[in-house]
Amino acid sequence: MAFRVALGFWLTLVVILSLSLPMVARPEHWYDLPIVPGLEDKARIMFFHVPTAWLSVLGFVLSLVYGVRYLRKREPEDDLKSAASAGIGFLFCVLATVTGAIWAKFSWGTWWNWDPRQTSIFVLLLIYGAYFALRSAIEVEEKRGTLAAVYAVIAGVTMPFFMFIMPRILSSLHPEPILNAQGKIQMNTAMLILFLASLVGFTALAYWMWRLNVRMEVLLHRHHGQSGA
Amino acid sequence: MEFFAQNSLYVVLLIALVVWAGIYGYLLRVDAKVKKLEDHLHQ
Amino acid sequence: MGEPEVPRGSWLRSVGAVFAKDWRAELRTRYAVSALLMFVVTTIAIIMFSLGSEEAPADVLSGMLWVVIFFGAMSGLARTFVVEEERGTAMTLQLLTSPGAVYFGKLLFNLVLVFGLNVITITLYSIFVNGFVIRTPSIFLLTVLLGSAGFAAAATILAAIIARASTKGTLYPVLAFPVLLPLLLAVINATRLASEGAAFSEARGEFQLLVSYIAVVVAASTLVFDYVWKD
Repeated sequence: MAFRVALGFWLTLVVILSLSLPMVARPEHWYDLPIVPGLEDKARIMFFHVPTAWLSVLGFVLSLVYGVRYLRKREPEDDLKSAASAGIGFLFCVLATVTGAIWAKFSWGTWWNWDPRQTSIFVLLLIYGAYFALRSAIEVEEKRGTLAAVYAVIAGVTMPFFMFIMPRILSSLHPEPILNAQGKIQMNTAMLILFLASLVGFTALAYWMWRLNVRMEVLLHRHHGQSGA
Repeated sequence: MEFFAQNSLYVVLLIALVVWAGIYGYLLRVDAKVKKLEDHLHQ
Repeated sequence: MGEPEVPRGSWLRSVGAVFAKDWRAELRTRYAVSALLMFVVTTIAIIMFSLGSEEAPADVLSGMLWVVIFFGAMSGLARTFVVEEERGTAMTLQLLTSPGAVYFGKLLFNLVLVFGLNVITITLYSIFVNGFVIRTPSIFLLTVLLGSAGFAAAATILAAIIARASTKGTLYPVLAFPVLLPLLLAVINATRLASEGAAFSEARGEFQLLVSYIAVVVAASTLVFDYVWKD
């Protein structure tokens, strides 16, 4: 109970502050946020976009971890958790892709330009899609959990290549400023705190959603011998 | 229309709060229902 | 790999036996080969037709080559493990050989198949597609070798996964594309470099990526294959 109330207040405060704290060229008050040249107010999307991207990756990593656990112990609950993590991760991946495209439109003028960051979030989206397509193609519960976990491992193992492809493409003549926008935004204390608060808040929200999902699936599994995953 | 140009940020804030309230309320409802089911089925 | 200690020599012989079995079966039915050939010929014909007499830029042509190869490999390799289920030989294989031997035998076979497919595709592509020219053959050769190995590695484990699913064929490219994307980007980039006449050292980054990709995928596959293979 306390968790939900706290989460409600926390994220409400984050939303209000990120959209109302003044953005000025030379921050004077403790609550002033620095301006990002060229973006000004539109940079506020960062408070929402980065947490969603973080959660997309976290969702996949957790899916992999629970998947591996399922492979070793064959506890049905581990598979349920793996699928739930993937579900939440997928949702946030969609949000991250969309907010990322909006950010791209503000920064570089086009919604999509295959720069390494955008490509990597797109690939993650495809991996999630493939994961669920695979799950829906198998009816036998144990096989489904096993093969889904295996795919998560294989796909997970190739993900780091996207982290390393990025720096290589950076060294080519590609003009887009990529990588973490934080690289070029100087964050002052207020912005940093707000940013971290948003990160924590969204993670807590995702955790709540995940717990609900798991509890539902456990109920379905235990009492109807089936699950939606 | 000028009101929107000047205060568009606050319009965004309002929309964001409304959306957030909707999501939060929905999650509370789902939570309550799941709890009810769990209690009911664990008897 | 979870099985009792098998003397080195006989494990290698198992691998060879699995390979030989697939090879002989393929020679007999020529299923994969004919599907691949037909696919490659048709796709290149379509490309030629749509290009007309236009000459597309080098990076577009490099990309297209690997698109053809990607889908060709997908159509040819999807059934690697499905055939065992269909012919009823899966159980026999499980009884007679260790999972590791099955995996490496199939991997080897797919390697040969992909490499052969690539040679044919590239030959046809070079002959018939306007403007595709390789100025640094050394880069291209290594790219094709490593690219084939990478394709085979990913394709084999994925084929094992979908053999147990019900929709099999249509699912395969869906699963394969995100996993193969780093590979595709690397080979397309390297091919572009080769067709532009870049120095060998410029492609070094791509080669490093390709080698590590192959190593990582094969390593992960050997760890995970047992779970897929055992019922």
